[in-house]
Amino acid sequence: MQSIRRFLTLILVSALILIIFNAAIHGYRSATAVSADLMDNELKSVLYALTLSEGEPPNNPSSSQLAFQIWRNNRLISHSGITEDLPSLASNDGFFDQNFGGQRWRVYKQTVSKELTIIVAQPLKNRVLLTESLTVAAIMPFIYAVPLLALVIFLVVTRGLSPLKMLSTKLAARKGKDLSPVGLTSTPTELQPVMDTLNTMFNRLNDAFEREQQFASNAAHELRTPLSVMKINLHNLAKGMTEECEALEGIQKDTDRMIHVVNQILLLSRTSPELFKMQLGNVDVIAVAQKVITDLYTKIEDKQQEISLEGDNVFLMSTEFTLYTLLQNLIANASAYSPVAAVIQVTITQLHGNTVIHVDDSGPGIALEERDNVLKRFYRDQQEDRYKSTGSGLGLAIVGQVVTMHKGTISLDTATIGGLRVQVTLPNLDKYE
Amino acid sequence: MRILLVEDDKPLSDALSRSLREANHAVDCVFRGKDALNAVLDEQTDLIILDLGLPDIDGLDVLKSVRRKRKSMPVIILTARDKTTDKILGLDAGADDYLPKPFDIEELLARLRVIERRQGTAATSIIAINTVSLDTQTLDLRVGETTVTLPRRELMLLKALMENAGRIQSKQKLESRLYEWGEEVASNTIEVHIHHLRKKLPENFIKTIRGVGYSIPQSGTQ
Repeated sequence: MQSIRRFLTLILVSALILIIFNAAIHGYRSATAVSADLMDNELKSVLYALTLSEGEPPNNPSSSQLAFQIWRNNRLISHSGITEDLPSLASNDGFFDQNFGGQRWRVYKQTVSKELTIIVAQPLKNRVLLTESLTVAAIMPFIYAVPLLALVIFLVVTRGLSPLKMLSTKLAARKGKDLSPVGLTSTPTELQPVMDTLNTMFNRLNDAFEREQQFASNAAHELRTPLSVMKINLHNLAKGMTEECEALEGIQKDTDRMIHVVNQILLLSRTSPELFKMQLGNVDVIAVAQKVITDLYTKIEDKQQEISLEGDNVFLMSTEFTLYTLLQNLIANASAYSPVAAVIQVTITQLHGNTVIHVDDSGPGIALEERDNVLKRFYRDQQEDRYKSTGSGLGLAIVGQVVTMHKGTISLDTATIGGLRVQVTLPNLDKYE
Repeated sequence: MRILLVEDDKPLSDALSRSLREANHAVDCVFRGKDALNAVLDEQTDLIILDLGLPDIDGLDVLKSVRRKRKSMPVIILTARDKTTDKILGLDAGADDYLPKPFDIEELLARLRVIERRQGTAATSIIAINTVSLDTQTLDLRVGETTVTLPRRELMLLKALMENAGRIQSKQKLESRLYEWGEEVASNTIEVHIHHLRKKLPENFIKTIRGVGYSIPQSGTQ
């Protein structure tokens, strides 16, 4: 069933038409019976009148409404223009139907006395006409009423279903992961249990969703202080050592990697579409890129890599944090996956209303067949170990999430300077639905 | 420097104070905001390292009280929170610097050195990078064995870059510093000054990060 309203309206209007049609048939039948009685009586009276006139022709002998023959001693002494022998002469007295003169007649024959027989007849057509006019008169008001009643039915059904319609409209109008309870101005008793269940479900979902988001964020936050302690203790330990210790360096690197993962988990939970929509504004992309490069510079400088930024006056509807996260991941990845002294070029341009970000590096790049896999969450490139990067694999997933929020695209290509080119295209929409 | 460390996490406080003592700082540890407010009154304290997530008083409120009591007290904020708004609030409330946890201890020590030199409490006010040394108090510049004289504004730029060695100084940031020193700033002022500076300094001493700003590599700092 596609629509309750259409179903109810159709069924009710069809039933109504069916009932009226039935009533019409029934009315037609009773009208037929009534008119038959009426006209038979008329025939009787006419015959009676003729009996009284004793064979004298009545005033209007050529009436098409009535025909008569008066027979005396088997001789036709008077008639209304019909001279042919009626087969009914041979039949008994009373009413019967008969064909003559090109139409069907209702005939009434009475043998008044031994020598006098009178036959009166009336075309059956007359009766049908009478019946029809009677039936039409009775049924017409109902026929007129059908469209009106259909309209009333439609309106009542629509009105009755309006809370349901309102509920579905409200639910359909929800955006993103809006899990707030729904409310109607007046809830019919039938809908109340549905609403209650729905709202209970929304609340539970909302709680679960918040817990999930809070958990990742809380866990990551809680890890920050112990990780700080670990890092400082390792630093103090290393300072106290007189010679280099490979194991200690290993632990220091692992600690850095843990810190990186914790930061990435926080970023992933904080670049949620809900927050994004709430904080949307016009952002200076170049300024954000400058900030990212400034913040990442220590690491880039450590690897003696050359970084440059090209672009002027590029603005985008976004949030500073999401763009920062996007660029931070792209540039940090380029640096991490490129060897010492590599070149990293960041280019930001505005093209046909889109903001196009290129991050090129002169590193080893990614093989064509592996590029699809790279965008998958937790995927880690085999080459990672070679350059001892501290990538957690979450980086590209975060990039993917940010690009999706902007309804943008990301593609991997070969850079003109030899390594990987990551191209991110973000459409510059006025606002996001 | 005598540092007041306000950090409620005991293991972190222990590890951090050990590092700071290792770097020849005197450290007083308190674990609560209330104790911090009392300790601030101690005239001996040169600098506060303040954790924002304290159990009794919000770190930002502690910072505001400190500012009322000791107007010029340098404060470095540590926090596990990382929201940009927190950072802005912290700097607005009068923090001198802001380090998100987990931080690099070398980074903290470097920032301490910058504050030390600014306060004039440093054992030496001289920053030496490679063959270049600059006295941040007297603005005496030496390249190798020779003393170099430069216009004041160029020395100021060089000081800003050397104090932040290893970090990028954006053109806008350098411009705003020149403004602070009451200099006229035209659109190409920084480029011109850097150009002049480069002529007097070893090759590649000041690096250009195209599209971002300038930096002096940290190698060989102090």
